[in-house]
Amino acid sequence: MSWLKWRPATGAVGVTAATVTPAAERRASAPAPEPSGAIEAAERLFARADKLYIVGCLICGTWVLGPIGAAVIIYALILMRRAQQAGADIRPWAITLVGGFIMVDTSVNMVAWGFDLFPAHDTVVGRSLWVDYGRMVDGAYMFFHNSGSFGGVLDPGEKSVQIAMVAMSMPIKLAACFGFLKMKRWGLQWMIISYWMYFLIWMIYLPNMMFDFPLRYGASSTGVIGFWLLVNVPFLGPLVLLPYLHTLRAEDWEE
Amino acid sequence: MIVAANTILGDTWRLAVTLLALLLLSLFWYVVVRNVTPFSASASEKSDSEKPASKPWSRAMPSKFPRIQRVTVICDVVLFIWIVVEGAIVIPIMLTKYGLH
Repeated sequence: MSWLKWRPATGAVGVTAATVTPAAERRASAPAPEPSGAIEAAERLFARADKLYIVGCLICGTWVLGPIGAAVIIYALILMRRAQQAGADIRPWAITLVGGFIMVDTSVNMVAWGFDLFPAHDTVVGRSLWVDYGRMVDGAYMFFHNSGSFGGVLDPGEKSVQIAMVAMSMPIKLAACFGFLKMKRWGLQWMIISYWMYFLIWMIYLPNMMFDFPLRYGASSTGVIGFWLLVNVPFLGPLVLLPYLHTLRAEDWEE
Repeated sequence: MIVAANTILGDTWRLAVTLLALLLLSLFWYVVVRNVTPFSASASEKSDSEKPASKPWSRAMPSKFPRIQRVTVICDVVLFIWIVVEGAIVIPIMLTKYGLH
């Protein structure tokens, strides 16, 4: 599991032999220094892979294009690995993986719910996604869909959470995640704030669903188990990642 | 004039408006968030390694909580794989089983 460790490159104060990056090790042990052109090419490859990774995570969260997004993410990770092997001093893998998960989770909540909140709920794509989701997991999306003044799901509790998530919580988390992946200090700090916000919404969302049990879980084909498998496991992100985010040192991140 | 849904033109503009609204919301909050660093790092906590470096991760110190970080990152990887696989397989299954509306 050495790849999970925070490994600063050589030159930083306090660096020990055990904390040197593989790329730096390779550079140190190589018989001759690698030409700077090769390193620059590797750095460019990493920059391209990083953009691709962010795009893949966003696509993966759209639901509709999930399979394409998954392929893009895997391809971007392969490119990053190649860039590292070619000598690029890349971002720690832990940050990449944590940021990737947060970005997919954010995109799922923002784009997919946005398809129910905004006019896309009238389209074949939006309606099919949400009515099918209602039949499988949450009956509130199946009954009276698009029958209220706002369109989309009619349940007032669900709609309120949806508006809070799409208009505020998730855009903040998305922006924070972008800064996090760029290793900006504001990215880390806003990530912590937005994750506490997410945790709070989770605490509101679960009881809200429970109080409408007959309409929601009771009416769907997979019920509570389907909800946990499809929705609530990713919602566990805050529980898992808040300790991680709080143990990162803000001083190490770029102003 | 509102173009009726369930037509190519009607669905296209509704999807475009939705994506535009999501983009504008993201840009608005990006501008807000980017320009506000909520907590400044205290002088006593600043690391000695804060010398100019080409990348922020080049000056990072080893973690004080390696075990917590290791466990949480492993959980994160599991959740990451879960959510990506779920996104890739559930929607096709759902649409195949329940159809379009």
